[in-house]
Amino acid sequence: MSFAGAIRATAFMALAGLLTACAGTQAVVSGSQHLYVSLPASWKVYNESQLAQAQAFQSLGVSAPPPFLAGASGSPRPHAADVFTQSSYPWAVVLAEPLNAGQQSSMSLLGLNDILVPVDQLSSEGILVQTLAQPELLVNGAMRGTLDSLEVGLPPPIGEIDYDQETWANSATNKVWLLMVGCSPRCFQAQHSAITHIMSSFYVPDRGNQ
Amino acid sequence: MGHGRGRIAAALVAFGVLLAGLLSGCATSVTYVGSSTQDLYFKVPNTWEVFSQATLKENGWIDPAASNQAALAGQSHPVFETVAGANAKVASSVDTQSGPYPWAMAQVVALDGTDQANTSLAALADENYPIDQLNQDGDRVQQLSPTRLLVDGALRGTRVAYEITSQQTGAISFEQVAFLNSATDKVWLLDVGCSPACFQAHRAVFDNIVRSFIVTGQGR
Repeated sequence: MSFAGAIRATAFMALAGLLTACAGTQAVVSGSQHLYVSLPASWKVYNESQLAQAQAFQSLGVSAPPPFLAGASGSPRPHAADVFTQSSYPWAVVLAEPLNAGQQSSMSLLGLNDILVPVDQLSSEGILVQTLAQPELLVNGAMRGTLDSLEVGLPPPIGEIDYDQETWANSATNKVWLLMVGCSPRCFQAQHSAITHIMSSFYVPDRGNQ
Repeated sequence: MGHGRGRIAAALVAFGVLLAGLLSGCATSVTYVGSSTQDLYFKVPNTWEVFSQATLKENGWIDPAASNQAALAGQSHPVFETVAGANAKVASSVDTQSGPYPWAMAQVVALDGTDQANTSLAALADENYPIDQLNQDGDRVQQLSPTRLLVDGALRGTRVAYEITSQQTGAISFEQVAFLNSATDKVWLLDVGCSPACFQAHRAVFDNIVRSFIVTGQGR
């Protein structure tokens, strides 16, 4: 990382710390990967190796190893295996990963939906995929993204889950940043305000030409 | 004092000559083509003719009625089109795209919701000629140079060159540079080409035209 990059990353992390210090929240932040999200302080955060042991998580389309991967559980008795399941408590997945040349060439706004869960493929296989809200287009300078809200009926051990997903791609289309927050359909409905609050805290700065 | 004034006068004269040289150089070598409202420009040799919208409409290069209809129906449609050619005969018909005279055609296309959701960098190659479809139909499609990814701030795009041969178009060699904005609701593209033999002979001219293509305003 260049000196200017290191300064920016440090400033970014300092700002994240300040923002969360007095708010009863904790920050999941990566200065090097330029992402920030604020989670309730009571949530337990898991790293990549902890998530990798969870059976449900292994079914997600995560490159190995991604530059940044974290999960979190809002359960009062949290476990890494809660993440990406039909849990009665919300969970979150935060990811930054590169796109290979093929993905770079073929990636569309619609394709951003399929980064973690191949919803297009699942739908064509007859698996329940339901849009819960009108997808939103997101633009921040050279960054583009989508905000989707979906219900997916997956086989055990995942089960039927509802989730919000915000995904960003840079102008060069060689990297994506993603936040997914979800739980069981009943939980999703009951916790929607808290989930929306977490989603709105997700921040990936404009990367210009990068 | 006198020497000082003399030096200043000499410097002014030299500057004037240099400026005149630069201006005349610019004025005589190229013609700027584009649109300030659509944020695009490119340069063609000043020996080329830039055709009027009336001429293009008369000869089937553009179809404003169809564009308006598509716009009203909320479909993708061109909002700007211009064509220049090395010979006035280029304007006579769209069939001259496979003829012996070099041409350049720039377009700005507003994308509808479906195209906005589905357009990728790979899909930009199909914007003017349906390369993917021609391939599927078994028509001859040959890539003349590797696809280049272009990134300019909020604009992303590709530069491609193909030779296509189909019953509909005949044999055309062309190079295309195309950009998408972040919102993916607009495409700026420039195609240059002619018959394969002509394209080969004018490759350097085409390269200069393509490299001059600029989209200002970052597509916002």
